[in-house]
Amino acid sequence: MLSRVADSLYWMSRYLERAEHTARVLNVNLHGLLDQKAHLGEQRWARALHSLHVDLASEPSMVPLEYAHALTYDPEMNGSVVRCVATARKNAREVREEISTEMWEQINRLALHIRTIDRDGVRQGHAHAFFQEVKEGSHLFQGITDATISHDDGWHFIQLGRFIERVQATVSLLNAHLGADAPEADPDERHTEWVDLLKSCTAFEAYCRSYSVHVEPDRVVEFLLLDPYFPHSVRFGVRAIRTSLEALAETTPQLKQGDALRAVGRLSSMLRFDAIEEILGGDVVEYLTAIRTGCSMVHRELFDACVSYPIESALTVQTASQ
Amino acid sequence: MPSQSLFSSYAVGEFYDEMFEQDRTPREAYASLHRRLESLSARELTKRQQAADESFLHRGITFTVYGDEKGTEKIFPYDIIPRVLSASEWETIERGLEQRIDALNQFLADVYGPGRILNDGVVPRRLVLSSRHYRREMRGVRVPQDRYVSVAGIDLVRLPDGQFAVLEDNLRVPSGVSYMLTNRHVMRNVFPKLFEHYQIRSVDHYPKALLATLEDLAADLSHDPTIALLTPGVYNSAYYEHTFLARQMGIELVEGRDLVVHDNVVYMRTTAGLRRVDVIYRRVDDDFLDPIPFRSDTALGVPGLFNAYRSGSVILANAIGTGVADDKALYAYVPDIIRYYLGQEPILQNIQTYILERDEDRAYVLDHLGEMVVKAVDESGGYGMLIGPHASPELIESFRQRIEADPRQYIAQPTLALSAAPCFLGNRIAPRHVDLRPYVLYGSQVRIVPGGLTRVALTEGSLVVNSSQGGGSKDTWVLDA
Repeated sequence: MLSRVADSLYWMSRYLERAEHTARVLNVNLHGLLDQKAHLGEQRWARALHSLHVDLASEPSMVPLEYAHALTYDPEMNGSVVRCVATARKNAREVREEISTEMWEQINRLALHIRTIDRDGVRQGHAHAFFQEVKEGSHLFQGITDATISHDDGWHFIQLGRFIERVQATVSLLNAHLGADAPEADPDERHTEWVDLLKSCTAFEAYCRSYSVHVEPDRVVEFLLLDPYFPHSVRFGVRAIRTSLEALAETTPQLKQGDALRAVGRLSSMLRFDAIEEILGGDVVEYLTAIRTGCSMVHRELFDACVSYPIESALTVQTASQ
Repeated sequence: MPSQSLFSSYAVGEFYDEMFEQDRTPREAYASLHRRLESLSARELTKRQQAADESFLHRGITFTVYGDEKGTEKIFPYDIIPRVLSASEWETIERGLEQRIDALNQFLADVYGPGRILNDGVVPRRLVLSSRHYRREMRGVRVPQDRYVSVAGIDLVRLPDGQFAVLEDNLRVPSGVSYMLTNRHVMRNVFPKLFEHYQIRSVDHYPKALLATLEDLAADLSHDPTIALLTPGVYNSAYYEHTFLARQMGIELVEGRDLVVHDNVVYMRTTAGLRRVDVIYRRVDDDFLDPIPFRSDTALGVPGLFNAYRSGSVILANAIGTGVADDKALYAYVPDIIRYYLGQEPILQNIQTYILERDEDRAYVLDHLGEMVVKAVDESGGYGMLIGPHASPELIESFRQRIEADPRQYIAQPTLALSAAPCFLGNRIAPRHVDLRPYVLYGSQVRIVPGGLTRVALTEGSLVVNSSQGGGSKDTWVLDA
């Protein structure tokens, strides 16, 4: 398949995943804001925005709610929900003929529709419908994707975009809760905070089924990192990345020779065999960083091998394989 | 005719009517179609029309109109009454087109090669060298089997005497063939009964014929050629057609940025590494192919492509520089070109054309601008055109100034009485002017799928059929003998 097409499929999927994740994190935290003491509210906003890589220090005059507003609707702001959806659509349009009509129509409809939704939602406290629209739109798109195109190389690039983004986002959320600069939580609020963390990963109900409603921080971290079955857990995501990389390596000699497979293999063994007690007993931030670095490396290697390779190296490979 | 007939207000005019004789009896080829239409109500036809429109919309068959800010994507208007050509009418057209494409290819090989026709003074050298589409860089370049034009879309019109004449040879990157194929497909879906009384020749094999023509170009290669269709990309007005043809032929659809040239070899970048490309069916104009010899202000092209082409490692269809033969001033010489290379009289007539560089031609045209059609020699798609009888005095005046400033840039033709075919207009059937664009494929043999794209000027009295100017199209039937 053409490198350009692979590139667009990957980013289409990755940006939509990012839009969905950002929408969910903002939605969970806006809800929580309604029944909390003011200073706690600010604290959790700081954490949520930190997990979304927003640097609050860069705009000291902007209150968190304004940030949330911009991060939802501002088409000029990097990473805003509206911008992510628009970028996903732009990528889909570039490869309109490579994806199914149903996929194109869904992403087009989503992008056009959210442009028309009331823009005062976040400030007025009723942005729920907007976020719901984005989340459902993204889920629908994923379902349509899985149901309407061949699960060949193109689909694997879509999978990679989706799961690399998802793993990075979950790791980033965990980091914001466990990292050294995570604010000390008010004991009263602890329960809510961990519930919100689960909800930010659509994991609350799935967690309850596994561990009951007793939300224990260690168990939450275990669930989000190591659960083998839940589609937003890091382990699940890494496995999906590995499956797709292995499938692509069948047709892509450069990928087979590169370090991507080794990196993802190492990550998946870690997540499969490490016990949560060891992880939490050691340096958890370092552990998370290793996952993040591993994913970044997979992304880089994937692009080096399949999309932006230098011509000379590709010529060598071609001659070697002939 | 019954009084409620959809034809009751149908006026047979001064022009050739495709359906009716002068005495309003239907022509033989149209007889049973006419009977069938007589038996239908406006409501029934409207229903079919809506079904057809919906079908186009759902397939996303749209085109882009340049210079129109709001409506970037439009459906191509479609008329549900087919245009019918008898077997013998088609036979003449086919022979005429074969003759023409053959002569034009010989002409191109000559002007970029020995230049015999120029030395013999049959075609003025200055006219060739001053054409905007003449490519000096192509002098002496070896074109496989001297096939310069592999795909042509030659526009025909029918004159009042019923004869077809050539209006334009589109020898660069003619478009519209996807409409020809889709029109037939939609017609079959919405009006299956009409097909019952006719033996209609199929057009569905066009993609196969096109692929065979492209493969012919690579006949000298020892391996199966890798063929790709090069598109300017998603914002081009014919992008839908590019994707359609690539898919139908089963070849890769590439943009300039997908191709790289290394050591004069063209590759496409795939996820599995570089893959060599042997033949490029390019739907990109010469200007945008390669920024090194041609326009450098564009990102569409492939740097180094021209050198690779010149070295013979990649084949382009059509070749570079074919536009010189469809320059509208050179058009006037095509009958001489046919006589010169083939020693035959042209089977299809030309339209009388005034070369405005000639003093007496120019003087006559400037005196009669209000009756003339004036065209810029290097434009297509109905842009840069004056239709005297329909133009405002200001427009005529501005063309007068333009012609006086740069006579080489324009030609003039008498305003033609194009033939008209019946079209359904929502509550009645009325005649509208039509032309015909058959697609001519020139490979190891000439392949022409029977028919072509019939374009309609849907506005009453209008003579402009181009899709970019609000024209529509209809299915075109060639009857089996």
